[in-house]
Amino acid sequence: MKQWFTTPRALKRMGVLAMNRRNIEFIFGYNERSRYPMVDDKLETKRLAEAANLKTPPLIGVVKYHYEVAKLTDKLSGYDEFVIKPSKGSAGKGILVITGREGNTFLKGNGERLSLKSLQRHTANILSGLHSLGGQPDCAMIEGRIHFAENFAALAAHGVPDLRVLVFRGYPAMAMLRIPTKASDGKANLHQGAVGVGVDLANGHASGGVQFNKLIKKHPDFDSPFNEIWMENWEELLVLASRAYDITKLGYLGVDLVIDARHGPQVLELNARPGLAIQLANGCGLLPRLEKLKALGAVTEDAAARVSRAREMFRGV
Amino acid sequence: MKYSAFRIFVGLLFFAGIGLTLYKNQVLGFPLRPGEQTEVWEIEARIDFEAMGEAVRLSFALPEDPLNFELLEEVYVSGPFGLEVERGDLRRANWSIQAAEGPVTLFYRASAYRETAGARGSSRRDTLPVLDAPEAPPPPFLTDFDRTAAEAVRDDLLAQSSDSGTFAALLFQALRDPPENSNYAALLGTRASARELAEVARDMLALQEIPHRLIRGLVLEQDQRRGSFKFLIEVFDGDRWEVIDPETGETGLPPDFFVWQRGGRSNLDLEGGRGSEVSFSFIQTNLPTAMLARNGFGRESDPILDFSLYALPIGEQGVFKTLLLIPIGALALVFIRNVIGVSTSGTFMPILIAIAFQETNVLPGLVLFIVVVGVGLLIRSWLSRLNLLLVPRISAVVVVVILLMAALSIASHKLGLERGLTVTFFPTIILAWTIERLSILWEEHGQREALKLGFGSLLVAVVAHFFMDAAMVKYLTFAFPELLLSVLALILMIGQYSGYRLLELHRFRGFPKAE
Repeated sequence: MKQWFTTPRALKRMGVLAMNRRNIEFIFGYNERSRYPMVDDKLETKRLAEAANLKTPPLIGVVKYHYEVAKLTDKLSGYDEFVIKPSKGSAGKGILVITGREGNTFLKGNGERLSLKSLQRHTANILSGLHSLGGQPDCAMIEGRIHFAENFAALAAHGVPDLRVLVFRGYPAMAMLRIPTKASDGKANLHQGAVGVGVDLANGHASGGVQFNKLIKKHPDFDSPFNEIWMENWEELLVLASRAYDITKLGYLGVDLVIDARHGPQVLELNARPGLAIQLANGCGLLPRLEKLKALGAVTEDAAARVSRAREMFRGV
Repeated sequence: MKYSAFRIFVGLLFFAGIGLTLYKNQVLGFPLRPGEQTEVWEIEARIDFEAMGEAVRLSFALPEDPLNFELLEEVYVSGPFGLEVERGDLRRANWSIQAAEGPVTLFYRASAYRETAGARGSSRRDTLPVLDAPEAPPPPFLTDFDRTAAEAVRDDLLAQSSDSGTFAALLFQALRDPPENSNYAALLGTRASARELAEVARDMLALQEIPHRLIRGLVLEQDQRRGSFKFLIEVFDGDRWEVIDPETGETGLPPDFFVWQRGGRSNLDLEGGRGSEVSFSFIQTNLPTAMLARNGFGRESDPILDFSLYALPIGEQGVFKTLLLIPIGALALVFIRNVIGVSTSGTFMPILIAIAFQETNVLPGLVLFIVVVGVGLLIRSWLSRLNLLLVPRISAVVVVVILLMAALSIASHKLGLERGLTVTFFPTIILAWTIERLSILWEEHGQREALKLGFGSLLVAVVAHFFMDAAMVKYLTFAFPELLLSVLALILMIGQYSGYRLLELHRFRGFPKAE
């Protein structure tokens, strides 16, 4: 018989962290409000990351004012591939990836052709605050498109995957690959049908996956089992994620990473309110890990030491 | 704030709300239920007399306050007469005029109610307030003939009685049912009316020097016109006063007996007139207990009442009736979002929709909302191709929404569906933003998310509406606004709830079970 509900006791035994407790204990408890703009404003994040030498996609330009929208082609001249995104967008809203260009016709990742006019409209919408929290005016960032490392890009048939690492007090606590699917229209957003795949912190091997809150074992588009996936540059990815804590000092932080073919792991975005699906993807509750990391006391180690300690700590857990 | 301090604070808030409510209920008599009624009697005394063309002075005993009833308000109809109300142990209305001639009618009207259990914590008062130590009555004025008969009867009664209590009991029995004895016949003579029997009884009691009082009052049994006093006699039997009905011999106050005057002087003194007659009419009405309570039951008002919402002008009271429901909707919203886990589009949009449902009712409201938002979404999807900036686009949606509302109103009016006219109660700007949000959600997150949030919001709105629409809730929030402290405490408590949401139990149902 299909079970519609589990019990609070079962979840508690598994150490599943849920929304209310995440907000009260971890977001309110470890993320200082004044530091939110560092992650909510991606332009700010990028500046901080560049200053600290954290690898991140190159910034091509910024559109701040509406009059600049008409002259968008000036900023784009010489670039055939780029990403336009709102600086203060939330949940992946308003991100437009252009993978090719024929004069003033632009190609989206899924092959759709866009006129310059619709590109300008998209930019104008961003400036008007359409995608930002609370509709506040925003600016549009144009950044270089990432040339995904082959193994990494091959994880998805549509769009590109990314790696979400949950970093607690600077220590990686859990990791998940987010793989876009046909169902998610190429977006790495779990709400829209992207698959979340748990990755073992100790060795970078993937385990099971989750799509629409349901556990799955195989890639819905390729039919290949998830446990064949393992991450290259695993150490480097985790260290990069941990260093994001050093620049933001946000105790409960979601770090989104991708792997570029030439430049290796890159920080794509930071999130001060990371979601809870990472637990389903890993088949493992967050609370026991967070409690262990809490017990470590003041954070004094550097990122590399933190990563090796966390990998040791959560080996085989 | 420390968690324990927070809990104490929340607890204090919660019990302050409940406590104030109970105070108002138990002490000030505010009923906890809407529509609770209190029996109120409108009693009118009509005084007729013939003025004789000279100065007239008329003194009329007013009901004492408080006796067994509470007086709400008193009205005097004096015509050309001057009126002075004498306050003191005995209240009297003194009417006077320099000269008057011919028939005169004066009125005194009082509304009175009896306190029911709960009000001021007292039960129905069936007994009268205790009086001070009795004085021996003055000897009666009797003719020699009457005195002889009276003394004979007294001696006869004394022979059978042991103390003043039994003497009085025997006396009243003898007056009702006189023995075959010439003394009794001589004493009573032709006197047979209740009033005359009471006079004889008082003479006899005075003769025996037994303290007693006459009670004048009205039996409030049914609506009556031109009724008259019923006379009771209070006798001091050595220890306490006992009320006796000379007509029936029953002791104690009859049920629904309104005591007008207890002892004291005559009921009506008239100078410069003749043929005076007092008649009473009374009708029973029912007034909401809450209304009586907020007028302080005709007593001096409590400071809590002076600062209640009932002290506001009626128009503002109406505004608060709606405002005070919002916290109830907010509580429902907080519960559904944080304990059950339904997500909504826009935090407070569901409450505003729920308020609109108050006017439209749920089903017509849902239909109207879905029609407006649905058509709005269609038009919005066309607008999104026009490359409009955000503020102009939302403004355009606002215009579209208003046009839709007008079209719906006109169409439903023509079709005779007057319900459709209530579409105007939906907040226009909220509708426009709802359309905008859902449309963006649709474009970027797919129809699944958009429908989920749309229906989540409607669900919360409907649930909040049912909470806010309950007559009990409407009444309680307005009569006891201090309950909002308790609502606030509950909201604060949910704000600290860190357990699982109900829908998370569904979301995480696939979690592998622990060994």
